[in-house]
Amino acid sequence: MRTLLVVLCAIGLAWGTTLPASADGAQDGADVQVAQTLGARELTVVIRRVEPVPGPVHVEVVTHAGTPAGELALRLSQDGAVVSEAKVVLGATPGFHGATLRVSGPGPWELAVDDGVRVATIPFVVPARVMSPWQNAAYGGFVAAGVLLLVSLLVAVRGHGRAALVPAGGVVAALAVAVTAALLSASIPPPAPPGRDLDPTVDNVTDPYAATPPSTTDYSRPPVNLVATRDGDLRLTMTDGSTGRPVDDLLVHDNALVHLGVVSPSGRLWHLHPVRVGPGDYRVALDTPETGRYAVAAEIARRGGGRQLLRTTIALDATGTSAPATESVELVRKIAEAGSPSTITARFGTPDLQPWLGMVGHMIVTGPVTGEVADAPVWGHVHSMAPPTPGRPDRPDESVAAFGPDVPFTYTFPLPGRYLVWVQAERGYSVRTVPAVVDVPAAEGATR
Amino acid sequence: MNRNAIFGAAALVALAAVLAVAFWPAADVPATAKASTARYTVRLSVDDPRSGPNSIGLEVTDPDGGPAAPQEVTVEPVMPQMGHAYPPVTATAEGPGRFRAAATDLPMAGAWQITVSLRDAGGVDQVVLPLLVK
Repeated sequence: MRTLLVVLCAIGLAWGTTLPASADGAQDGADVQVAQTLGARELTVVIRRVEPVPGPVHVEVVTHAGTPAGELALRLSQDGAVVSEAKVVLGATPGFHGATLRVSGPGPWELAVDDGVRVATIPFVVPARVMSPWQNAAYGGFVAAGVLLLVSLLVAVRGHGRAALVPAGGVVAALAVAVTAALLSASIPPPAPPGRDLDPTVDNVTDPYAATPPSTTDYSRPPVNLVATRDGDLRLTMTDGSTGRPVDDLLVHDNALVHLGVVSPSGRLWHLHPVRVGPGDYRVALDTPETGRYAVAAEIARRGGGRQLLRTTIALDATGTSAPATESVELVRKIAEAGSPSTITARFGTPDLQPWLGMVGHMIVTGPVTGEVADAPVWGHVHSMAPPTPGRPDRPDESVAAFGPDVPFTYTFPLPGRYLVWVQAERGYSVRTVPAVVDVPAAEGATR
Repeated sequence: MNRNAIFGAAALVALAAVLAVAFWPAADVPATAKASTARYTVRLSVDDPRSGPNSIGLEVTDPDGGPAAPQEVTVEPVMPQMGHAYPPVTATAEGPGRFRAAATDLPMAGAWQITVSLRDAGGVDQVVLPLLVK
């Protein structure tokens, strides 16, 4: 009898001292990698995963070949108030340059990258450690069961046999609550994540379960209107198609807020990443060697899901002579007729490619070109993916130089005709651009 | 037997206390949000935001924390997820640095964005504040 009591007490203690395991955050903090064309510098800003808060935030600025040395000021702010500042000295050699800043709590934050002339702001969300109500019920139930078990044992030991039934009943009830919550919680969907689906606020980041569910399950937002003007820099104004308000909810997708392709009248490509200087206001330095009409294509993702391709043209005067560098690399072409998949493989020779924008390679396509390049009806941005590493949800950053040497792209050219194609990959912290012209034959007979 | 009854009553009282603490309705706290520009800090406060007309209180301060006096303060409600914009409401001054946009129509439950425009001789400052309507 005594042994039994000891065993029961031990079980009760074990239950009673069950500690809440560190909770799975509602949003898993992953690195935020954002490509930024800041003035003459092509940078990648990496915000390392942020937790726990308040705490340090490690920001790394990756420079590329040809990036001028200098100093950047980094500022972290919430609701327009600066909380932490740091300086990053960019060396002459390309690579990682780090700084440590501090956040004071979860919620929406903005990282400003200031080169003295332009200030790029990157919005991001600092997640909170969140316990779901079901987790709380499960842990609380087990704790209550443990405590009540001890109570009932004590009451029973002191000789009040019947009175012990009351806390014993409590043990059963608490266990029922805990087990039910533990078993059902797996099938209850988590709330919509602030930042990705909902506009982040301090409240809904801190407690995503308290916010009332929105009246819809479709979080997608209206299409975006793009206007390109030049005012020193190339300036992209993005407004909401339904309200006309500035669009200030762009998500980082494929490691950038905006992927901008600009093609000159003679077929030169710039692949740039405009910086956010204000709501719906993105700018990028662009030196144009030719006068004429340029094709402008911006790829964005709005909060709530869905990517959009925004295309426009802009007439620009020549402002200089510098043109984007290109190089010659063997391309193996398997060009099928229009409507069937073609494969183009770039042979870079040695397996030392670095992922750029999370991908081993990018292929930009525009065509068919019949008159001006800016009037080409088709725009494509094809990726060559890095093979996923098991157990590592993050994509490798640019410090991994082990991809390639062959970079394949498969794309179905929708229309027959002459296309301009550029294959891009990074090596030695320098983006290599391989231009090509591809003639796509018409499909024979009707496609049924 | 008597002791058992006392014990049972005590257990019930303890249980009732635990349940009361767990399920006591939370006091209605007004929804607030704050944002700053270089010249103004705006603090928005709405008591119990519900779908329909709402009274939006605004506290506008300058960078030193003192009450600010912009010439005109307007409130522009937008529901970004639905792509709905509603007519702007001009806030009336209630006191130093305090403005109120009475009867601002927010006809739907969900996440709203309230753009507050502060106009003065130097131009227009805008802040965007979130408001969750229940």
